[in-house]
Amino acid sequence: MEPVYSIRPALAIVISLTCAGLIGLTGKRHRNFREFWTLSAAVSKYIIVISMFPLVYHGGEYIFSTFEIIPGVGFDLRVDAFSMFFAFLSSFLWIVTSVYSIGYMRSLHEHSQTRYYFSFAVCIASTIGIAFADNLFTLFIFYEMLTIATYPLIIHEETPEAMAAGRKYLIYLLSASLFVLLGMVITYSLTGTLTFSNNGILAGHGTPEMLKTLFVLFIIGFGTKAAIMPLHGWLPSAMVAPTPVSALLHAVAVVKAGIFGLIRVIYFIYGTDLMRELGLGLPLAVAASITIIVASLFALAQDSLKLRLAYSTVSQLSYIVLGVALLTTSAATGGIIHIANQAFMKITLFFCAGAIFIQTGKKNISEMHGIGKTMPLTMICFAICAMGMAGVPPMAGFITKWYLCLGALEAGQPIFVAVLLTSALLNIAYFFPLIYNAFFMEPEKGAKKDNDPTWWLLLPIVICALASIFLGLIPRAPFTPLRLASVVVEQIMGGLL
Amino acid sequence: MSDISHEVAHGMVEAAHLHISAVPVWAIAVPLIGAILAYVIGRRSERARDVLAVAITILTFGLVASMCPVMLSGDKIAYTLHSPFTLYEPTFVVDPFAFLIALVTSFVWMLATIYALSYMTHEHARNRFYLFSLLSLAVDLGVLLAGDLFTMYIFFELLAIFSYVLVIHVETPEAMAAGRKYLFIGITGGLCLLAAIFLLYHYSGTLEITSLAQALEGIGYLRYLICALMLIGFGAKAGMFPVHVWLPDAHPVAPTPASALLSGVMIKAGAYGIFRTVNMIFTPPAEVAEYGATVIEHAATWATATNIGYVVIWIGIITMFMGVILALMQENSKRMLAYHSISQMGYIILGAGCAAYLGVEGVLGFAGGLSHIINHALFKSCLFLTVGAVYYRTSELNMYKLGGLWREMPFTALAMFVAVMGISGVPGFNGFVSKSLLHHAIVESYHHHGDPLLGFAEIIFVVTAGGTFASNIKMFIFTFLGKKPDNIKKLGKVKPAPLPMKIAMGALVASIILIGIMPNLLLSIVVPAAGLHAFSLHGIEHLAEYLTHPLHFFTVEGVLVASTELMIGGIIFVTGIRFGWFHWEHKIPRWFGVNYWYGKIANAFIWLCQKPITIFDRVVNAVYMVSAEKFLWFCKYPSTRLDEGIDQGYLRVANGFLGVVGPSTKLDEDINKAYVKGAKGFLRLAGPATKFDKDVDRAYIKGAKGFVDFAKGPATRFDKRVDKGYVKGTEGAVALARSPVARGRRVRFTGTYDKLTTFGADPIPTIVVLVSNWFIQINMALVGVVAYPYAFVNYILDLISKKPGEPITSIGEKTHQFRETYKPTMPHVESIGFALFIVAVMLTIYIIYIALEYLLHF
Repeated sequence: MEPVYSIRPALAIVISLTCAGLIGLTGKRHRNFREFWTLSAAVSKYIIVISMFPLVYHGGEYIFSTFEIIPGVGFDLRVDAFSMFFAFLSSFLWIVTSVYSIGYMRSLHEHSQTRYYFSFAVCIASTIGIAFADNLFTLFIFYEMLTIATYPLIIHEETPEAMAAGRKYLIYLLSASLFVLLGMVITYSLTGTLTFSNNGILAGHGTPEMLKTLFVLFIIGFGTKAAIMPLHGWLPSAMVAPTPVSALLHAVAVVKAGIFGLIRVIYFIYGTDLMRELGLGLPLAVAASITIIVASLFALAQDSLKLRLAYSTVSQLSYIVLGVALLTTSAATGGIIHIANQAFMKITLFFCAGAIFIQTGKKNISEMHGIGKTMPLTMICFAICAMGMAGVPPMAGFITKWYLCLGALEAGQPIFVAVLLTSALLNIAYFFPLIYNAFFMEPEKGAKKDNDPTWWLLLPIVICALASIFLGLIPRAPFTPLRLASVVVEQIMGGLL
Repeated sequence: MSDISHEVAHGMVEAAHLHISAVPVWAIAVPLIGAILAYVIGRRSERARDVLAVAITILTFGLVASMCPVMLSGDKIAYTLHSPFTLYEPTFVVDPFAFLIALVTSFVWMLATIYALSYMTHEHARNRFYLFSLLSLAVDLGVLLAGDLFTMYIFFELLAIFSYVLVIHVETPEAMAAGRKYLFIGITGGLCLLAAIFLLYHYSGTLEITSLAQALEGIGYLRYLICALMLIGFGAKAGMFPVHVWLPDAHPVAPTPASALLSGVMIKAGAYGIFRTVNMIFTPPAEVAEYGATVIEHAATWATATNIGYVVIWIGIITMFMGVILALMQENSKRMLAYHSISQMGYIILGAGCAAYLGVEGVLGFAGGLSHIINHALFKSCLFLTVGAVYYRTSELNMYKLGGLWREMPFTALAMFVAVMGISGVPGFNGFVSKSLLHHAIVESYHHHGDPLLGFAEIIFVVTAGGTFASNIKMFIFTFLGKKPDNIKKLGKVKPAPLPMKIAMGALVASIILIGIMPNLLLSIVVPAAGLHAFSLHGIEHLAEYLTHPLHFFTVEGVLVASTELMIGGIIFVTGIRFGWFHWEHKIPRWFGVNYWYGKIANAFIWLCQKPITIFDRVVNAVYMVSAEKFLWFCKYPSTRLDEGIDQGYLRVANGFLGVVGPSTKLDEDINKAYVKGAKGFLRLAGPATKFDKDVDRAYIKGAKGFVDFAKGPATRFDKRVDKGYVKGTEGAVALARSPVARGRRVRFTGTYDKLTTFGADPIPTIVVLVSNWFIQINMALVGVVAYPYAFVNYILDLISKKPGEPITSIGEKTHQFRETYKPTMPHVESIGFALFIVAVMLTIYIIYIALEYLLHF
């Protein structure tokens, strides 16, 4: 299908940046107006993204090209199926998170809200930029932009702890991006191009040793954002950020940007065949498996709810890496679909953690006895998504587990089935105590009844929880992430599902 | 052998017809939708909800029972839910085997729900109970009616989660602990099952529940792993040794109707799975049964089944024996019944094992196991319900604190008596039917290969049956006979059980006796079920004989075995009471139980998570932070060193200069001296001039004065003063003219000489000094460039801000002040160092890269 030249990809990015400017101009005095900008930009961005959906869904592409920076590499945007997958997800969740943010920030009377919304808008612009990048260079620029724009959000509280976390964040991520840069330069010098291609661009260039070294550079570079162990240290400490930030950025945008970059490198720079030829999948899969298990064990040891969720994120992100690294059709589908599944489930869990904090001021799991009786709706959504995380059947997580296990067997590596199922068990082990203590223990005396939060907070929770049920119940309905993931896999693997 | 039975059996073995019908789906959907409906209505009216819940269970039972005609003819019902949007299209297949278990499940569920009407009035959170009870019914039927492993797994996993809520209903700490154990073992089992399903699917390419033995033959020992995983998965639900540990904790803590369901019905979902695994998936298909085990191409497949069967027989034996030993030592009636559930599950597992071990001849094991699933469901739930009825009226579960209740609760006493007879296998009650079939099976297994160990197993079988009788009759005697203890007397007159309870118990009692007298009722479905499995025709014919001649069951041999069992039971009971064997539970060392080791492992795991893993986490983090810091240090330190180096270099160079400059110091001094001298000379020169100046000054002043005076004073004084002034002026002029000539020449000569000599000796230092002077000059000049605009802006600001009258510093003065305070500095040395370092790193990387590229080219 002929690619369509259109300004829409650029528009989707620019609208957030414009929104950021408007937020800055409007400022604190007209806070309703400022929130209006956020919401309207979120909605209009979603509309722009969705307007490109049908064509991309049927295998088409949108291209927006500007000037050339170095020969063969331009500041170009392109929307293919995988871009759409990521952009669709993050632009939808931006709307939800914006609603939640308004409720959250106002309930807590947070300071510097203008800075918060400003940075948020820039972050989303960068995320969409990453999604739509046509080549590694463009991706890198937005990638760096995202790192920097996230910093003010992490240090939002401005406590010494937050500042330390922010510093840690910068240390980890900026040093990682040096590796990306180096890898990019080497790639360019080998091939003379950086544009993503469905079959990879590196095949036939350089020696195997060179390519393996290059791969390690890329893994360190993108793997830090994707929190592959032992590069994960920044993620748990970044949990000092306000909850909506943790939710969107650390369950969706930032970490998934790393994953996205990783997948771009694996399938669009290296290509499936070259990866198989070089045997790079297995070591990555092993690293991912170790991350899955060890991070789950860490999660078990946490008492702070957000920290437990953070380690769970670390573990779940490696599901995606594992799926991608196994290099089979089912596994890749499982990995890519988990980007969406994990996003919906994890964002709900974070939202619930924030709602609990607002309504009761509790952060630690050991204090949350009987909370399901006072906040029933919130905790039901929490329970649904926690079970989904563990891969209990009708929830979205099961779809992932199913595809990943099949993929592991397809790859002839049944050991990864054991890894996934052990991880499912560990998920149960760290989520279920919370659930049954919440529902089947008596709340402490003096706890308010019917303590569900305002609809600003509750609506996003309910929407995301419902989404994660529907994604598990009817995953193959048209226009769902699974269908789109199949299109992506079809493009990169060349096989039909 | 009659012709009729031959005909019937033959009809069974023929390929079954497939009926397409949505009844199985409705049987699952009705309680599923009904559960939610009941919950919603229950928030308004408890009465309406109770009625609705019972109606739903009756409707469900009716739906399941409506499949009976098809089943009696040995056919199957199948249905596939077509939906393009789901991951998988769930299928439902009902054969007589699944149907029979589903029938008893929905039957007992119906009775338990009726029973709950009155029982639950004592409990809290009734709405939740009915919601999850009905949900569990739906998913339990789902497990039984599912047509493929995937659908079955989903329902199996959900059953663990929904029934969990029933287990922890009372929310006491011990209930929570039991529930936790139940949930984790259930989920672990579910995951084992899932792993097995994945492997099966991968190697056989299908998820149908059918014989996959031939497809799995080529994968070697992996098939035993798959089988083990499935056995663990289903066995965890069935209370199979060694994954039974949750059962004695979880079943008693639930409210009685739920206990009855858990113990009577839900564990049968596990037993069902074990049968499916052992007798269907891992045995050859029914079509080959006619040729028997002798056919060469199936020999290997049969061997697999035999091996699995042998292991399963022993698992069954261990499970039944261990269960009964522990049951004998219980005080709490419900806990005792829970241990009996384990023990009776041992019988069922034994049946499955014998069926697989005997291959085509294993029909008795199969029939015995299946009948025992049904019979156990009936008498065990009846026992739980009677114990619950007593508890409902007396709030006492400890059998040693009960007694003499038969007068006040005669109906309950009768019901318990019948159930005890059933579980003990007394002829005329249902347990006799299945136990004698199972006994036949184990005896046949012994004779099959003459394995002496299996002969021993038969002895255990009989002893276990005796123990079952002993402990159950003990419960009956202690509860209903004898004298009332004090705590019961205190209650006054105990009321009989309420009507709904009586209905439930009565229905169960009726069915226990009915099956006991007319085993053909049960066998009429057992035979078609066996017909769909790989059993030989004459075996099925033998079984079908009972259909027409039910009295053949009560053979002398069978009754003899039963009475042996009862006798052993009586001996155990009497001696046990006499010697206090029934209180030995606490004397057994804890490490003897499996539970202890599970606890150890769990604790070790938790410890592992908390201690080393956390420490490890900290270490990882620390390593990272330390390495980050090291990296920073690496960035900083060498550059600091470089800084210091540069600094020191500067210093050294400066020192070197100083060293070289040493002589020039002299020059300096000389110059200085010369200047001083010159100055002195000038002073000297100026001395008189000063004087002259002063004089002039004074003259002026005086002149002025004089002028004033003149203006004032007389003219005579004017003359004198003019005169004096002239004289003094002349003197000054003379002095001025004299001094340069006298001193000046000598001074100039010495200075030039000194300068010339030093310059000739050390030209470089001189240049350096000059250059550095220039540097400072330039610097100061640049400062001026900066200082002036600064001063100007300041001045303007002053002009604007200061009130009229306040002093304003002029631009010149400000510039001056700025110059004074300004200290000429070099650019920050550290940053130069860092920049140099970065450049160096970049260069290094670049050089490495070039080198690499170079290497790669060659």
